[in-house]
Amino acid sequence: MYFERQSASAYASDSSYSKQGPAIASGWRNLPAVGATAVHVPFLDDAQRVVVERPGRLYVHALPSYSLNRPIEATLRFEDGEWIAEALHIPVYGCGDTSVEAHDMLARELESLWDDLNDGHALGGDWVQTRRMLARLIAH
Amino acid sequence: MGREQSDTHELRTRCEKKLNIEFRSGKESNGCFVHAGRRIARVTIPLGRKDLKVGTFGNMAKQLFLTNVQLNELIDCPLGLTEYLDVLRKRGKIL
Repeated sequence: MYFERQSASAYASDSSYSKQGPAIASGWRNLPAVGATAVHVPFLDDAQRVVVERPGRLYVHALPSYSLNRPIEATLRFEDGEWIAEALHIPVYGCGDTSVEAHDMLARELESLWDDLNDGHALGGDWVQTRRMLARLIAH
Repeated sequence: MGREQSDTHELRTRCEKKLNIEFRSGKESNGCFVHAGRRIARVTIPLGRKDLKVGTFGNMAKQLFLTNVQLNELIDCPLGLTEYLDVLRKRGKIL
């Protein structure tokens, strides 16, 4: 089954999509129910980056100033009137009125975290492991 | 649990005053909790989003290694630096 690619700005500007979470169904109306066979349905933002590939999941393919060796996976949900994108295994999130805003904030936060982890400050807790993980993901 | 009556500015002020977190402002407001010279927690408070929504609130709590209830207590005063350090010790984030 094939679905035509849709500009993220197109669905982001759809008030039923961007403002009312449950109405995401209008953007995903052709998707099978969760648990059914996965169908690849990429949505693109204005820069033609894939933003949302399946409900509940979001992939960051590039950071503002760095490219990535492989996409960073995040969860995507609509809660209390805002979109939340939360990276898996990395303690950063993005939020916004649209999923695109949440994605872009998450990308900025990942880059900001990477810069913070490399500013020479001593790291405690799980930060050393997080820095190691990001070092594998970020293309230098 | 969200905080309809609180806003991002209030949370930031509490973090600064009670946990000595220093924020730097870019597109978002990021701050790190430092203990014994080491960076332990890093929290992001979105700029330009006045109300604390449920999802954002929960993520900020998670970044500080707190539950939503404990983050509420941080805002409402029962939870101070001593209590916060206890939470971090129990969670194995500091010795």
